[in-house]
Amino acid sequence: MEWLKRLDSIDPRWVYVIMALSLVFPVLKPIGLAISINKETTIPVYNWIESLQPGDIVVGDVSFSGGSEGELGPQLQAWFRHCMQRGVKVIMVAQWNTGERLGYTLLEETAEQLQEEGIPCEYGVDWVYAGYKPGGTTLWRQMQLDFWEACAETDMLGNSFSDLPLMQRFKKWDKATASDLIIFSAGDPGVGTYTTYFPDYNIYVGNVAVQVPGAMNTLRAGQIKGLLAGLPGAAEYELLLDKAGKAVKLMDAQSMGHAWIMLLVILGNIGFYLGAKERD
Amino acid sequence: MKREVPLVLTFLMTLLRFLFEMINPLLNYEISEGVMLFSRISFSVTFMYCMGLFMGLINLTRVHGNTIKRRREHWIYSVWLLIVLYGYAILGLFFGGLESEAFNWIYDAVIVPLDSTMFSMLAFFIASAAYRAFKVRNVESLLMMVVAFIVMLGNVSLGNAIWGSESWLGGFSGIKDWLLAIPNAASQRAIGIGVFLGAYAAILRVALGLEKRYLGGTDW
Repeated sequence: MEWLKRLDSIDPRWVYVIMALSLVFPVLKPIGLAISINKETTIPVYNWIESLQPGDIVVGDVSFSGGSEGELGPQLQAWFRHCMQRGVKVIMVAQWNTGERLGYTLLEETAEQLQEEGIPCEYGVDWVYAGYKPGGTTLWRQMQLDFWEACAETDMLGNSFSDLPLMQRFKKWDKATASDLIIFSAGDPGVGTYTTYFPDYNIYVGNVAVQVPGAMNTLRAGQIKGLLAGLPGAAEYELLLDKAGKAVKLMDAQSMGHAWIMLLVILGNIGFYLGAKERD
Repeated sequence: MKREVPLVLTFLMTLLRFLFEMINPLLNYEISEGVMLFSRISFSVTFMYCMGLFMGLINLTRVHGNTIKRRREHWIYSVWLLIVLYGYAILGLFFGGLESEAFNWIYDAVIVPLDSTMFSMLAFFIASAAYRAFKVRNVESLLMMVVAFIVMLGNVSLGNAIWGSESWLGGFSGIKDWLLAIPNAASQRAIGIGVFLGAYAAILRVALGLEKRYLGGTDW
């Protein structure tokens, strides 16, 4: 029983090594654990795109950077794929300059896959990436009045809006042109910009897992209509599209990582309890 | 004057921005054909953002320039910082920007992976911290541990495999959803209202000139 008491002093190197193995092995050889789909959070986002007509315009916001790519990247790609499959037009903005190019790269990758599959996804016609524009929430307010002027009439790549057919339908960002939007957010500036300045719009959110508890009250209050919650949200969306991708693959790794943390907490407490009994 | 001008400007700009949100005709007011008053204000804010970036550049150069000049500890990192700062800015400004392969490669192959790596390390730190610090010493910590386990299992497929969402109470996932939607949302609202009132009071103090520390200096 002596070894049990040593459970609260495991060498941290073992903690790290086993964590690394728990994360790497399921990625290399997926276990295939079943994933359930959340009716409160993920389904409303999916149903939203399903309810739109081909040609409708939606706006997406990339408010994350490389640190959150693991969770929000698959969300963004799955949502974008869904829009293109349904013929819904997408205009992207970015509140984070550090994530502007990352968001574009992710969408470009998905667009290439879609085109290979024969799904129309032409830049300028089906989607436009306006990108990051400095000016904070004041500029986002200005976008509602005159989107072209607020964006200096150019997208992230420097193309003039007048050369992009989709932008001819999107001079102003008002409820008549696009009343629905989604923000993929990893912090601030983020969802607050839209709940404050776009309160009448239908707001959907893709959040990193740590932000989900903070977003639940806005979901319950109806300020946001749907929520993709971290990696599980992305995996659920991929399954709804019947196109299992990166997120589904990573879910097993997340399961194993969580299991190792829980096991560590239990082992630590056994050691602590036995040690405390001896000390008493 | 050094004191009064910034205070008056702060008050006027706060009032103006407030009025734009409160009075809709003002938001849509055109100073001439097709030129909206708000768009001018918006561009001044954009200009200030850019100036802020420029000020940051000067400040970083001064701080790290001094570190290099006085050979302070780890001064070599300051040299590296300035090389990266100016090198990347010059590459973006004068060598094609987003059309430059080198510029994009640095972003795709250095910045994004470094950012992801920093964030990924949290998994290891959290595992280690949870193991060392998460000890059941009383009923409250036991409750916290039980809730943490339910939320963790409810978030991953392993939890679904143990106690599925189709079974009693919706399994781990169902209980997690209830915890997030009811007790958590209630406490988040309380925290949110508290934070908002605090921020509102702080903004009001700045607008009315009661809070002056943002002006810098010590003589007020």
